[in-house]
Amino acid sequence: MGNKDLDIESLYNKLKTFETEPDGETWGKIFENLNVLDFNLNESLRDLELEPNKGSKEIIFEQLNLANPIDLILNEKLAELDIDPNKSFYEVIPANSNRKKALVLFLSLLLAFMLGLFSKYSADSDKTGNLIERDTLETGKSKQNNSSILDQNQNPAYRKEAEKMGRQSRSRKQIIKTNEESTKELIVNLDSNQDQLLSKINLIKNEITYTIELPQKINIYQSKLTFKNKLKTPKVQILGRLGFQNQMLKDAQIENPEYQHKDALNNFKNSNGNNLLGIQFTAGIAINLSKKFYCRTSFQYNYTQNNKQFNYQYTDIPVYGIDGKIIGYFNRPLSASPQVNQNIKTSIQTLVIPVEAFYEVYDLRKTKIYLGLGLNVGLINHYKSLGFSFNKEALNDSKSKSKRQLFPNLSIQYLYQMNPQTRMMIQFEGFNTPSKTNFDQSTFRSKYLSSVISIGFSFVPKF
Amino acid sequence: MNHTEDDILDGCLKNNPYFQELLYKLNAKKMFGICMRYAPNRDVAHDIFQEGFIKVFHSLPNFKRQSSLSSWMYKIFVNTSINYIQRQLKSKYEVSITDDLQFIEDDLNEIDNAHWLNHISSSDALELVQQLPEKYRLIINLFAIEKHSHLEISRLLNITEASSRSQLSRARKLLSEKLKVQLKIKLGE
Repeated sequence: MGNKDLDIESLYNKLKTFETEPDGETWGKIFENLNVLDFNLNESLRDLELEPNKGSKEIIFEQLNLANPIDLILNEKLAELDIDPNKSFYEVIPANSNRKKALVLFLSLLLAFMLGLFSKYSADSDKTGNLIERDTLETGKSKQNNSSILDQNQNPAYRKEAEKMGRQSRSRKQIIKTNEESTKELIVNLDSNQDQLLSKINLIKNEITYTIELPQKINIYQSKLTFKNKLKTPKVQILGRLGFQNQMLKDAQIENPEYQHKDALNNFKNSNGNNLLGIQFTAGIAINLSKKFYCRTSFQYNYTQNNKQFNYQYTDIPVYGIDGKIIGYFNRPLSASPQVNQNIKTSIQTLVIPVEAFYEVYDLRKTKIYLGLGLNVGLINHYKSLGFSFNKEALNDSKSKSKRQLFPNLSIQYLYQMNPQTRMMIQFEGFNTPSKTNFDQSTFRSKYLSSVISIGFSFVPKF
Repeated sequence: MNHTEDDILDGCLKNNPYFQELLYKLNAKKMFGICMRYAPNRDVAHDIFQEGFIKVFHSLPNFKRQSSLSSWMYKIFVNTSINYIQRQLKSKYEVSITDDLQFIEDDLNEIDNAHWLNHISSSDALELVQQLPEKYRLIINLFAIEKHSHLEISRLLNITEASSRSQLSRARKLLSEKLKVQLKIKLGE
C-alpha cells in the first residue's frame, strides 16, 4: 500500500509537470505510474469478480482513499512529531535528594520573601509615617489598598517597572494593529485560481505574525502527586501476615455471684493465667478507595496458650439457703480438705474476619504509614483449659465455644514498597476479645486485651 | 556515556533511577508528540503521557525484546491514547445511513481542498487535528498516521467498518472546513 501511495502522489506531481512542460519522458513516467495504479485497481476488481459482495466496492475505495492528500499531508507533518513535555514530570522518581534541595530552596525563598516584606514595610513606614496608619483606621481596608497603590506609584523602581509594562502593552497593541492592517490588504477571494491563492498564502506566511495560543499552566505539584500515587498504589492487593500475639486477661466476672462459691472467680483467674502467648496468621485482600484511603478484609487465625501452676485447697463448704443463694460457709479441717497442685495449660483459638479501613498519615517515597480502625467479626472462639470443680472436688475440663462476636480493633501499619508489585508491611494491632465460659454450673464472662506485632507482604495480582 | 537499549532496559528492570530517567529522556519528546496528536489539548496530552509512562514502567518486565524498545513504547502510548479517548466518549459510535452513503462524495470534495494543508506548519496541522471531535480525531490518527486499515480500526474500536469509513470521511471534511475557517480568519474575512 505504501508504494501505491507514492505512485498516486508522484503521478499527481508528474501530471502537473507535464501540464506545464509536456515532453515524451514525462509522459513515459506517467504511463508507467498509470500502469501501476491500473494493476492495483485490476487486482482489486479481480478479487471482486471472484468473490462478489456488497463490501468490495468500499474496499476498492478504501485503497484509493489511502492516497487521500489530506491523509498524506497529515502523515508527513504529524507522524514524526517531537514535542518537549514538561520536564518536571520525571523529577518525582529520584525525589529524595531533590526533596532536600526543594526544602532548602523553599526555606531560602520564604526567608527572602519575609526579609523583603519586612524591609518594604519599614521603608513604607518611614515614608508615610503615621499618616497611613491614621488613614487606614479612618477609612478601612479599601483605603489601605488605595494608599498602598499610591505608595507604590511613588516608588521610583515600581514606576520604572510600570512604564516598562506600559511600553510592552503599547507595543503589543501596535503589533495587533499592524496585523489587522496587513490582513485587510491580503483579503483574497477564495474562488480565485490556485496560483493566486498560493501566492497569497506565501505572502501571508511571510507577513503575518501567527496567533499561537499559549499552553495553559499545568499544576505540576498535582501532576507529580498523581504520577507518584499511580505508581505506588495499585487498586487491589493480596496480602499475607504472620504475627506474634500476647493475650492478656483484662477483666473476668461471674454471673450470679450470690449463687456461686466465693473462690470460683479467683480459681478461674488463677487457672487461666494472665498472659497467653501465641501466633496470628492473616490472609486477605486490600482495595484502594483513594490515594490516601484503603479498605482491607481478611481471614485471621489466632492461637494463644499459657501454662500455669494451680494451687488450691477446698476448705470452705458452701451452705445454701431456701432460695439457692449461699448464706455461709462451713470450714472443713485442712487434713480432710482435698488439695490440687497441678500445671494447667490454657489455650484459645479464634477465627476472625476483620474488616478494616486505613488512612495514610505519612508518605515519603516508598514508605507509608497508615492508621487503621476496624471491626472484627469473630466466627469461632474456642477456649480450652482445666478448672477446679466444687461438685467433683477435683480438676475438670473447661471448654467453651463462642460464635458471632463483634469487637473493634486499632492498628498502625508501616508499609514499604519493595518493587511495583510487592510491598512489605509491619503492623502493630490491638483489640479486645470478649469470651464466655460455662463451667461447673457457673458462667464466666472475661475480656482479653490482645496486642499483635506482625510482618507480612502484599502483592499486586495480575488479572 | 553511551548505553545500549539492553543496558537501559536492564537498568530499569533493576529499578535503577538513572536508567529510568534515561529511558524517559530518550523517549519523552516522541511519546509526547503521540499524546498531543490524540489529545484535544496539552493538559489532556500530559494526562495520557503520564498514564503511558506508568504503563511502560509497570510493563517493562513483560517486554520480550522481540522489537525495539521505542516501537514497543510507541504501541503502548498509542493504545493508552485510544483508551483515554474512548473513556471520554460516553456514548457508543453512531452513524446514520446517510453518512454512510455520502462519504465517497465528501472525499472527492476534500481532495480538491487538500492542497490547503500543504501550506500549513506541523503545529498548525496539530492544532487542527486537536480541534476535531474525539471520535474523528481518533479515526484520522489511526488511519492517516498509524496506517491502520478500516478493518483493523473496526476491531480496535469495536465499530463497523462502514462507521470507520464514514467517520474518516467526516473527519477529513471537518478538517478541511476548519482549515478554510482558519485561513479566512487570518486573511481578515
